[in-house]
Amino acid sequence: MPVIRIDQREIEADEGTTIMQAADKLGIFIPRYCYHPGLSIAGCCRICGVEVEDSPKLLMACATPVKEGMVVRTDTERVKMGQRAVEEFLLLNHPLDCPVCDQAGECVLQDYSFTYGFGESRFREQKIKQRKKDVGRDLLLYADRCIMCTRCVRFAHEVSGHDQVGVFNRGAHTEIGVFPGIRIDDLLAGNIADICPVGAFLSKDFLFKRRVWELKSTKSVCPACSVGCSVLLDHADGRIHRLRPRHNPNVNGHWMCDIGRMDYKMVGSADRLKKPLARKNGMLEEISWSDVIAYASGRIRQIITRHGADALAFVISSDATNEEALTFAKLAEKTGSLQNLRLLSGKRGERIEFAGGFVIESDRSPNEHGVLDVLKEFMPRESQERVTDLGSLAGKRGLYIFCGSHSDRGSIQLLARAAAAADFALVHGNVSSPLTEAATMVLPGAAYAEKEGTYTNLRGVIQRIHPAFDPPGDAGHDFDIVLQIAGAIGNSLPFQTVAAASAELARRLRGYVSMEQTGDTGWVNPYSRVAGATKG
Amino acid sequence: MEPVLLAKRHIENSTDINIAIGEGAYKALQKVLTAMSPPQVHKEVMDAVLRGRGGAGFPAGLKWKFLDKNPKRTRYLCCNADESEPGTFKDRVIMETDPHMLIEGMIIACYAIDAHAGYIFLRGEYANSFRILTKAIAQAREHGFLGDNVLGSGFNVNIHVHVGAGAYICGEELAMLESLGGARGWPRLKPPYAATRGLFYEPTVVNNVETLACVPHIVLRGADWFKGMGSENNYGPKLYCLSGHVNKPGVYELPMGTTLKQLIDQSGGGIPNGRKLKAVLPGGSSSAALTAEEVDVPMDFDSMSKAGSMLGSAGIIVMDDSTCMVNACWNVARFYAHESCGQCTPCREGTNWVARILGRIERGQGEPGDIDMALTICDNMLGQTICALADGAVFPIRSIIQKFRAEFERHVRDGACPFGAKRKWYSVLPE
Ligand SMILES: Cc1cc2nc3c(=O)[nH]c(=O)nc-3n(C[C@H](O)[C@H](O)[C@H](O)COP(=O)(O)O)c2cc1C
Ligand code: SF4
Ligand code: SF4
Ligand code: SF4
Ligand code: FES
Repeated sequence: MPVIRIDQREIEADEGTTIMQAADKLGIFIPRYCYHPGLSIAGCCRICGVEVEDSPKLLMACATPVKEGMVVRTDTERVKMGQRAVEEFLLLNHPLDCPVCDQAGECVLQDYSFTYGFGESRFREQKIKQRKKDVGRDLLLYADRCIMCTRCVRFAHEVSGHDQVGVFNRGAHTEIGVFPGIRIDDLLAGNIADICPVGAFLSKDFLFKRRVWELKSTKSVCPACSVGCSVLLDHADGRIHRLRPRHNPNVNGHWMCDIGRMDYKMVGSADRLKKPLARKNGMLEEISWSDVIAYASGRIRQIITRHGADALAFVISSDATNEEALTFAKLAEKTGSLQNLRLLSGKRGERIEFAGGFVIESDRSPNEHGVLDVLKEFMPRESQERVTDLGSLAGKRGLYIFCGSHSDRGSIQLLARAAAAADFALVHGNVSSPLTEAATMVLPGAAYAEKEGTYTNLRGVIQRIHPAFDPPGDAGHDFDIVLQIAGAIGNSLPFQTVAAASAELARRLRGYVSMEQTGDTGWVNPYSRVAGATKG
Repeated sequence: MEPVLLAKRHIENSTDINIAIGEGAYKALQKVLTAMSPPQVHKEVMDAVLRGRGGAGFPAGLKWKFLDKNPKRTRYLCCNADESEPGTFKDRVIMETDPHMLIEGMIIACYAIDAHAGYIFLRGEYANSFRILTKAIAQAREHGFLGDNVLGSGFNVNIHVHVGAGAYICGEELAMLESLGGARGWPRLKPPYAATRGLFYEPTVVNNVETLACVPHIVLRGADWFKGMGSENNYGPKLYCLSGHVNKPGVYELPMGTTLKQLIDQSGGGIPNGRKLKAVLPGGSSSAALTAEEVDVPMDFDSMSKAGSMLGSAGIIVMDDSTCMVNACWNVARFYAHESCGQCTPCREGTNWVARILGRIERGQGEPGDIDMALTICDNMLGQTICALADGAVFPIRSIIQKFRAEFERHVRDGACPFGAKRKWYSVLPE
């Protein structure tokens, strides 16, 4: 492997990598606009010029492969002059409308102008103006803010493969645009607003909602399919305002899809359940949490004593966390109803694969694999094959259904019928549905953005989610509710916190680690059945 | 000298294949196919030190040598007939008076580099050249010079003409290959070069029309004959394009290294109306300007580069003392601002900015500091881009400002153009 020197520091660079990548490894930052690690190299913005010994010109760090013995300088006056020149050129025809531009605060042009620019304009001519265009379901293009880095063009060609974006005209009139009659409406479109380094491509959904510096970012995982893209929840005052993909080579690369990106709306939706409800005289009425625990545990005990443990069934959704699944299975174990543990599978959709290898999986829930891993660990072998058979629950006297934000209409209706026929049906959920309508008791739970725990994606990557804020109103944490009910039945579980449950999982399940050990990019379970990550 | 490239220029119907054959066309091809192996052809071109006539002067033999010879890959030859450099019109004369010389050169080059398809990328405005070339190619096919089994030799080759859409940048080698491949004509980042990743991402040789036109003569008469013209490392016959303030503008064929002075005074018949020479852009609009005192210099690659300019496309643009150098400079700058492909930040923004500053100076709206600012913008563009267009803009602009600075200063000081010429406004740039 070639050994090179950058700013007097030596590094053994990987064969075939560039000066930019070697510098990144050393923590030496070289500015970049057109370079994006998930795209091909364009080398057109010219901001990343560095001095290389024996080369008369500045060489572009993003496009120059490392060579044995190379001596690179990123901090000389010539390098700085080059950066200043590019900054000046880029601002000539730039509208500088930062006060009304959504990108302000996370704009690379703005940041570099402070770091590398002059702070003063020598330009006395009139700026070239270009129109704002509506170019897709969720995309606006403010063409005159564009710096022609061509990331968007390369993305549409290489990653989504839909090629809607192109370069039009020449010279200073060069403009990014969408081909006539076409819109950027594919399911990866949102990424274009993310990778645009300036406020040229913007999301309509996020437009003028918040200044970005008011947002807090919480690391999480997209719950909209079994890929489980690593994401950042950008939120303020208990509301999510947008989602962004978080780079994860084990899972999603640099991207996420628009199904997942818009899925956050459910978290702040007006339909969220906010109060515990119990049926009185046929009507669902609010009750207090202390009454909930006493009432629910009483009814469960009653069913067991009158009809036996086999009259009781437990159903858990594939959007529960592994830790929630563990608590739930433990409860079923304590009541002696493990044979009646069931998985509520996620919605199925079309599996969509894109040109660059990114996939949206057909299982549109985040944790079917994890929940199954947990349930199967506890269930008797002979009943495992019925783990997804919800029809076999007809006639059960007591049902405890953990349905999260599950929304597959078929299984919800099936469970609603079983619930209506049961003596007692307890439902944890996020939103009202025909199932909550049929329940004896409805407990408002937390959505993914409000809880802590881990998900296992379809390739066995175990990823941690973090809570961004508390559940709305009186909604509670499903984990605690199950724990309290178990306690009230008289069967305290051997752990009291999510972290302890996670440690327990790591001890019991093959290839699992505790939530602290997953890191930001997740833990790849070496024993998982499906190997390999989505390319991105 | 005895004309070589222009030998058929004054022969009637010289574009017709029968007349051309009567004048010696395709003799070289017959010699090649009957008596020479591809390496022998290559060696002859190599020995002749045939330097590329497209502008850069890179030896054709070397370019062919660097071509990826992997037998599993398809190789292509592309003839650069985009000829869009202002002041340049020599390739057109070849194509319109002796198309068979070019076709023959391409067939021989294909034979030497093991390519079976050649493309001529033709400047969009050259409608007449297109008609002549298409007819000539059809005739060559009828005569068995093109197609399968050329002259019974077992060698297959075809030539296609592709008409450009009117962008100067498509004359740049890799932009041309992008455009030929169906994409926007944007120069590609180098390396890789065309020799390994060219047309359709396959190994490709790109040569200028005049370069390829020399090939049959080299093969037929030998490298030594070729080297009998010109000076060390700068050999062969050369086409010079004279335009601007000369009595007899036109294309002249003279040995490589004829002096610029001789070209202007003798070939061009001097400056009209008894006026005096003021400046010359000797190698097309992309070359640095020379003053009247600097024209006693041999027009070959090395001498011109030593003189601080370049041979380029040998498009000699002559300006007499009635010329406003600010206006001339602005004119050149406008061209590059219009033709920049828009890819690299310094070129896209810099060409436009300089053009607008020069426009202001010429209109009498220049401010103190504008001239130095224009020079620093040039510095910020030079050597900072993917292709050589930006450099091609800087060379003339910077040299004109430096060599005629007093004239620029006077424009600023007086707030008017001392030549008082009426300006024709172009719609290309906003005021
Ligand atoms: C902006 C630009 C425009 C060019 N235009 C032409 C052209 O019109 N014709 C040409 O033969 N070469 C042109 N060239 C040079 C080509 O890139 C290339 O070097 C040449 O075609 C190679 O042929 P040669 O080796 O036979 O000279 C241009 C180069 C640049 C940078
Ligand atoms: S729109 Fe954005 S991503 Fe696309 S070229 Fe312009 S600045 Fe780059
Ligand atoms: S691919 Fe799946 S996990 Fe990724 S963003 Fe889309 S729905 Fe979410
Ligand atoms: S130098 Fe100019 S013409 Fe050449 S690639 Fe860059 S922007 Fe395009
Ligand atoms: S980041 Fe290297 S040229 Fe743009």
